[in-house]
Amino acid sequence: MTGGRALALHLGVAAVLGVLQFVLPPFHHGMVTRILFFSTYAMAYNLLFGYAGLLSLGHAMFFAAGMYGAGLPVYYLGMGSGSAFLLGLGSGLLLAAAVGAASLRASGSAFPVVTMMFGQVSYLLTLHFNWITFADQGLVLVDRLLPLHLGPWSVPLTDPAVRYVLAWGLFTVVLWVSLWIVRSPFGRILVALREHEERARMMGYDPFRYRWVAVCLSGGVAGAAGAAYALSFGYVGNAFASILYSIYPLLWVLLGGAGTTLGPLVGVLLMTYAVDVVSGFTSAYLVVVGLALVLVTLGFPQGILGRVRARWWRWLP
Amino acid sequence: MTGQLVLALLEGTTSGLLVALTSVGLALAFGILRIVNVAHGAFFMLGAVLAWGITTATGSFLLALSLAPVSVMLIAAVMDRLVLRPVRYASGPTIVATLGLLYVLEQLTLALYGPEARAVAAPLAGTVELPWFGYSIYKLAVGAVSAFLLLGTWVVVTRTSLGLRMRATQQDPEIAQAFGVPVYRIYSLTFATSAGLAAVAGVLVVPLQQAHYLMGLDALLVSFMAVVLGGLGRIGGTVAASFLIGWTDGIVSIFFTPTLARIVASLIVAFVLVARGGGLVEGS
Amino acid sequence: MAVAAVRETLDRTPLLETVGLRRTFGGLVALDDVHLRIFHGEIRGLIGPNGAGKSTLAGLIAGRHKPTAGRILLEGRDITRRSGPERVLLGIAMAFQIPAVFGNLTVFENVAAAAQRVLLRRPLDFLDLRARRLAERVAEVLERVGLQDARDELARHLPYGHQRLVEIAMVLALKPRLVILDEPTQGLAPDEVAQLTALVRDLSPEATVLLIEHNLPVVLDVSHRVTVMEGGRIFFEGTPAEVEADPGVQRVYLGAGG
Repeated sequence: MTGGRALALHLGVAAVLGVLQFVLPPFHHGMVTRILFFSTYAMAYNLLFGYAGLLSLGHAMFFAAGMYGAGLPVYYLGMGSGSAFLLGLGSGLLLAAAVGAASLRASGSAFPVVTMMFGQVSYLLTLHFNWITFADQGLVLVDRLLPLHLGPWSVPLTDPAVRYVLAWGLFTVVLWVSLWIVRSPFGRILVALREHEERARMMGYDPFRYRWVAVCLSGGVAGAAGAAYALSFGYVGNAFASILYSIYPLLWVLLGGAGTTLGPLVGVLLMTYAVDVVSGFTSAYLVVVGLALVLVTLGFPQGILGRVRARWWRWLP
Repeated sequence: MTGQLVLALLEGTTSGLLVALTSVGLALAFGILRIVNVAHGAFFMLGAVLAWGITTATGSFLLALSLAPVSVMLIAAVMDRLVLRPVRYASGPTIVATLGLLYVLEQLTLALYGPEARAVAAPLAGTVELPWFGYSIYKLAVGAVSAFLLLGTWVVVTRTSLGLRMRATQQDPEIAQAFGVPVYRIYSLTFATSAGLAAVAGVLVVPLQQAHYLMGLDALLVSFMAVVLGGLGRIGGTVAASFLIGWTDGIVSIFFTPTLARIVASLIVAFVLVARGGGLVEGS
Repeated sequence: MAVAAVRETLDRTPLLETVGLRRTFGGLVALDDVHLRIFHGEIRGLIGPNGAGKSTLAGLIAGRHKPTAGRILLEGRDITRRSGPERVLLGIAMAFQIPAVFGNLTVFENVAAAAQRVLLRRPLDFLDLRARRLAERVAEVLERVGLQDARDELARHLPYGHQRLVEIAMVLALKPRLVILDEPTQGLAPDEVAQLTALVRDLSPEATVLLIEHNLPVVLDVSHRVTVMEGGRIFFEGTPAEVEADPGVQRVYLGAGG
């Protein structure tokens, strides 16, 4: 049954990534940790872009909401990591609920522009409230982070090994959740709304309601990724609120395969290493990002796993 | 006092004319090609940067004023042929592709021009003596050139056969094509023109502001604001909104920091679009 | 037999009634003062030349657009203000003139998307605990329209006529009380037309059907009553025999071909 193959593949991927932490040299160990966090962010983006078909150009605001929602209480109030994480997730969720309610009133090409504007406002707010956020200098949490208490153990969050496990754990949970969502009735409705909104509407589905839920889910998970990232790396900086981090998930998802569950991981993996290599040559390495966006849009809109699914593996979710 | 009022009026009008020149191109892209060109600010920036380059190399600002916009138009024409036409101006792919092009243009400029902001001396020195103060001749020239180009654009669009074809294409591309209008050529020409106008604005601004590889972002925001407030694709509305922006700019910069001003501007664009509801280019 | 039964219900409340329905687009009057009554269990044919307002009327009943004036009553209750999605839940479903299916979903998924609207009503249902019931309902509907073999095909790979059948399957999966079909036989092969005609006939009397058609033999064959429209107004109403015989109708419509 097709379901079985998909399940096995996802289990396999999760298992391989889990084992990798024991064999990778330190540099790649750190790279993969970051890749796992960003893949979670990318999967959140994929739900909205790949499945619901909504182009958000301000998603960094949700990631940043999670980051600051977790980081600020730790820095200023000495909050514990567990609560801080939940607060970060909640911040992303709340912001998504508000922004979604407003933005979804705009349809077609207006939606991307509106989300871009809101995203920019979030970034500018981190600059405006410089005295709280210390803008791009950032807040270093490392000294203030209390270790996570799990029963009798005291786990220092910023230890690279712990960090990897956290990233991997979050990634795996979100991977399973997204696999479940896209094959659920709710996922079906999102795709239906994307494919033919009028038909879905006249079949009894109010487009606004379902899309709003998708935005909330997407924003909440992005916030969780941001919160976890901030707590694990012990750093909160507003670079993650800039438009670059709204464009990255778009590129990651497009490259890896929009509308596939594993596409985000593939996209993050490729682009992270690509940017790393190019930045060794020039400080204008972001030209890779721009070129990749153009080339993928022009010639490769299905993305890698999208092409794989169309040509060979029809069962790929 | 009259003196301050006149100064504010002059400044606001010059500013408004520059904003209009920057924004009208975006309005044309919205109106006729029905696309959101996120790279529009980059054309403004390229105009400025190229102007700096040409002026510094040849000493002639006038040469820069003629060459830079033409170069930018060529770049835009290439963009149109290689990127926009293949995706057939579809809204989603166009936004993503122009976003990518924005990065490419910005980063190339960073690599070739560097991260610094550089200025150029005003080609026209001196002031015009008014009863209350002396006003820069250059600024008056900027206003004049902008007004001339805006008027020219208006005349072309409303009075010439080319303009007629553009408006026919805007109304209904399929029917226009059936009547022999070379729709794709009109698209290319309009896109190049939109870039050229923004580039001229960039050139004119360099003696006043300095050329920097990131200056396109503010230009984009301002253009968005003018176009959105002006009724999405209507040239007249865009110009009117530009004047509104120009005249309030002086007051705004007294009370708001640049960051706060940008926040407010972005929120205005967002909320006008949200309040309006519906789509952006499909029916304004 | 059916005609007599329908005559009996004439005194009862109609399933659907429009009162003074009017729809204008700018200066164009698409519908003008339409009073329509459709009764439980009947198959009502709706014919007329192009531009008569048939699809507009159907769209207003289904809730695709709001009328400029007038009211729509479902079993006596005013539903004019209800949105399209709400009307689906009230039991009105429509298949469009240009078949609208979800291209990148399989036939199964297309019909499932419809079936789940009525099967999965509470939030908890979305945990897909009723997957089997959903699959059964979909299979049942696909058999009814004859598409069970195309179950796993992507909808956009199907020929035009089959896409139309998918859409009809989607409508049926919603188990509506009033089924509106807008030119369902267009693009179908003759044997498919016969199959569809049988399908439509079979819908009554459990469901009520409003059938818009240009294919006159089909309409006159399967309908209990026929409404003839012209220029945004109802021109004539009667049994198929009456419609065929009326000289006014012949002049307006039948004479012009169809």
